[in-house]
Amino acid sequence: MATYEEFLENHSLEDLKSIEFLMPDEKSSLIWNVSISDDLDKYIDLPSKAPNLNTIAISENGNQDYYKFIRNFVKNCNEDVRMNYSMIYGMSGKEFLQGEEIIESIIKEMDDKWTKKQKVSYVHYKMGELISYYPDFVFDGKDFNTALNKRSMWKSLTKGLNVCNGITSIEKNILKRIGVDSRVLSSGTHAFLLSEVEGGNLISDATWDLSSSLYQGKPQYFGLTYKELREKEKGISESHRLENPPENVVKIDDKELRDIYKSIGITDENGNFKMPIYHEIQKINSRTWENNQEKLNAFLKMFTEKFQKEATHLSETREILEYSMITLGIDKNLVNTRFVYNKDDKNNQKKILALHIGEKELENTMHILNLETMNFDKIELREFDKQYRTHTLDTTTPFWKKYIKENELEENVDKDREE
Amino acid sequence: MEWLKEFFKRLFKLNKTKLLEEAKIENKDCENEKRQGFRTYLKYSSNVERDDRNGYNIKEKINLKELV
Repeated sequence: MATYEEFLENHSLEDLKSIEFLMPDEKSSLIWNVSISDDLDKYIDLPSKAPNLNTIAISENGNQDYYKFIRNFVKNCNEDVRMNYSMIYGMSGKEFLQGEEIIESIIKEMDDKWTKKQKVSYVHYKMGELISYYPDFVFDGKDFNTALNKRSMWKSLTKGLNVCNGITSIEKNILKRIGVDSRVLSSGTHAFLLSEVEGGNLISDATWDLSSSLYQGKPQYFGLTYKELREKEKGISESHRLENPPENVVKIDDKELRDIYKSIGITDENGNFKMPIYHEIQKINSRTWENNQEKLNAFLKMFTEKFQKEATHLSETREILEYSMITLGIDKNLVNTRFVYNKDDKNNQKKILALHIGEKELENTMHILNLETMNFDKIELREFDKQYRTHTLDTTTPFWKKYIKENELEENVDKDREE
Repeated sequence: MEWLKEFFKRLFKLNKTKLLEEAKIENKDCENEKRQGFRTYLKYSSNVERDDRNGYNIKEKINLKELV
């Protein structure tokens, strides 16, 4: 690594292949040809003078001016330029620019005069619209680069997929650009955010709120104290357990939450979250149905007609489908969803959302969300068991087995063995 | 740069393969793996799509009315 001047002492510009642009307080990662942190603008024409420049390393903690420069610099580069941040996250120049377009459009939607609480609220909510949770299920160790690339912040914005650490990176990056400092809280298995706002620090978890945000519901993990957060997950998860909980945490109670979200245009004028799927279910509930299958059919038809965009966010849709069943009046203990895979899909490449209701008249049917036709396919349970399985790492007995008669189950097991 | 990529690839690939074999054992705490920074965590559920890995949540099922 060298400064630009140092590099030119021993090289020509034709030798320049990689360059790193940093914020003033950042340290170089020492692996690029040149590292620059001052007077960035004077290097804007460098791509035209360095024909072999193929890699640009950038900061993920830049401000508005910084990224404006980077965008203009990248536009001056060759089309096949590669970009990198934090040494291991990669993307193409095109992916960076596409991601930037999305980030800039979000910033334009916000008002400069908003308070920090309002800004954090908006960015938190926006994550549901932009990103679907995409766990790294390719765990066979083969797709290392793929797994990390999925989490590449800019790349994931263009793909609409990420996991918790990527989602917090996106939030942190956007918030930094609009004057809000934040840092990532990590329990070791999960990442969420702490932002400096008026009166103290605000804890938020946009990943756990992806479903409610996407379906225009009330955030459940925004503005809670650390104690409240832990209480909420007690007996269920340790995702938010921290060795050193943050101090000076502000609590956003229900009234303030609704006031904030009303002020930024998310709720209706009464401070109620719009949650259109809830209102559609209320219409279904208000009608009389011959039987539960008819009622369920009505819901599934409504869902695939009115929530097509949301349905493609599979992880979030899974959660909302379960809640929908309960809202329809089905016993929550009889509602099951699972991501399944066709038995031919050896590497768990294509996950499919399956919904099952354990009520008497419905228990022999599995409902599968078909994103191509945007319909729920109904498949008889024994046939379903022949064709589909759970994730290869999942060692538990699939829940649907208990609904299949023993002799039918044995037939399927024998067939699996033969394969 | 390529050497660095290969280094990480080998490092994580080896450890991930090892992790997979252990992860197949139901309810393994994976303490060693957590110390090494891996996030697979199957303690609460062997349903890999619904466990704590990578921060995916296990939440109680609720009525949508609570989100209005």
